[in-house]
Parts: sequence; structure tokens; C-alpha cells
Amino acid sequence: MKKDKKTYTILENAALPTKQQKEKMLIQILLDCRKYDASPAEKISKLITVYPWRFAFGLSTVQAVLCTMIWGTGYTNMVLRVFGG
Amino acid sequence: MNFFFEVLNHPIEAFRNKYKAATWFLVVFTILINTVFDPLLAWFAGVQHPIPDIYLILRTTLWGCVSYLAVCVVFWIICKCFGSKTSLKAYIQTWGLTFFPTLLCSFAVAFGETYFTVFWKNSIWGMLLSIVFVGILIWKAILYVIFLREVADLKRGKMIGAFVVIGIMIIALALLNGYVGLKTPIL
Repeated sequence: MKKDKKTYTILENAALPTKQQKEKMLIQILLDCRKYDASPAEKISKLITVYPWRFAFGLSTVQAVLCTMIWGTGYTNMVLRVFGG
Repeated sequence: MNFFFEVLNHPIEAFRNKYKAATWFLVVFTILINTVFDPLLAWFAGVQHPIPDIYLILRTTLWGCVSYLAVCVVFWIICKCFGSKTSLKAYIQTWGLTFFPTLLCSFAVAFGETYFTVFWKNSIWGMLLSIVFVGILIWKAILYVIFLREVADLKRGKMIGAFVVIGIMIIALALLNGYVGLKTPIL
């Protein structure tokens, strides 16, 4: 009976989260908390920092369409000359 | 593969988790596109391009590695001046996580330069390339700010100061990269 108790204790301990796992869980909980009580500035910051490529290419599309409509190939050639050799 | 999506979509978490494998992969792949893929593409694309010179490839690859280390040292020194306690090792292990846009830029520059005549004076192709290039620039700038906040642990005024000073150094290093033959700066 004593032996069984020891086995159970070992099994119980093995099932417990490690220190690293606990830290990860805490970070996750803190991040989740931020989602619920975020100020408008935090919401904008999150919009930019999560999926940053989405914001970057969205903004870039707006500028490219507007500038091409205004200046035509003069603008696209200028971008090509600066970035594309 | 999950950590690649995290680097791509959730850079804050990626910086905290320090994915070293992703860092090395992104940096090495960007350097190789710049130094090996670009001259090979130019050689295959047109008769006027000479056969790629192996010594030039080796030299630019070496300069690429030096550039990466140099920009990390610049980050470390300037952020230290602004009160950061982050070690140089942490900068080397994490700055590469911002190389997704640099990697795409290397591809875009290689194709843009090789097939220049297709894109020149063509408003549709020109507009698409301008979306790509300007988007990449904005993306990298966002990652740069997140990096200063999360890795260098700088806030508000100190972060703005470091942003400006390192920005000037990055422009200087980019010009130096162009001088040694790296079309997309390894920064």
C-alpha cells in the first residue's frame, strides 16, 4: 500500500507543469488580459504589431494607388529607380 | 514550422521566445539570395550579363555576414548609451527575426533589376512593385520599433532617441553595403 502511494505521488508530480511551462502560462494569461481592457491607443498599437505585414502592405497599397493616379508612371519609375536599381 | 508563422505574424512573441534557428535561417538565406541567386538570375536572364565570379560571390557573402554583425554591434553600443541592459548576444540572436521583409526585398530587387525593361514605364507593374517596395519598408520600420521596445527594452524618449541615432547609422551602413556590392543591405 505504501509503495502504491509513492507511485501515485511520482505520477502526480510528473503531471504538474514545469517552471518554464508556468512562465509561459502566465505570459499568455497577461496577454489575454490586455485584450479585454485595452485603450484606443493600445488597440491601434495591436493592429500594427500583430500581423505587421498586413498593416504595411495595406498602407502601401493606398499610397501606391493614390500616387500612381496623381503622377502616373513618373512616380512608379521614381520608386523603381530608388529601390529596384 | 509554427515558429515561422509566429515570426511573421506575432513578432513581439517571437522576440520574447528568441527563435535562434529562424534567425540564422533568415539571415543566411537573405545573404545567399543577394550574393548567389541575384548574379545567377542575371546570368540566366540575359546574354549581356557575364558569368558570375566566384570570388565576388565569396567576397560579398563575407561582407554580408560582417554587415549583420556590424549592425548588431551598432544596436548594442547605441542602446547601451540610452540605458539598455541587453547583451550583444541577445541582439545577434534576435535582430535576424526582422529579416522576413529583407528576404522579400532581396527577391524583389533581384527580379526588379534583371527584368527592369518590363517594369519601366509600365504603370500596372510599376504600381505593384511600388506596393511591394514601400510595404517592405514600412514592415521593416514596424519591426525595428518593436525590436527597440522588446529586445533593447527602451521606452518613449529613449526609444525615439535610439531610433533616430541607429537610423542614421543604418543609412550609413546601407550606403557602405551598396559600395561593396550588396544590392539589398544586410541590415
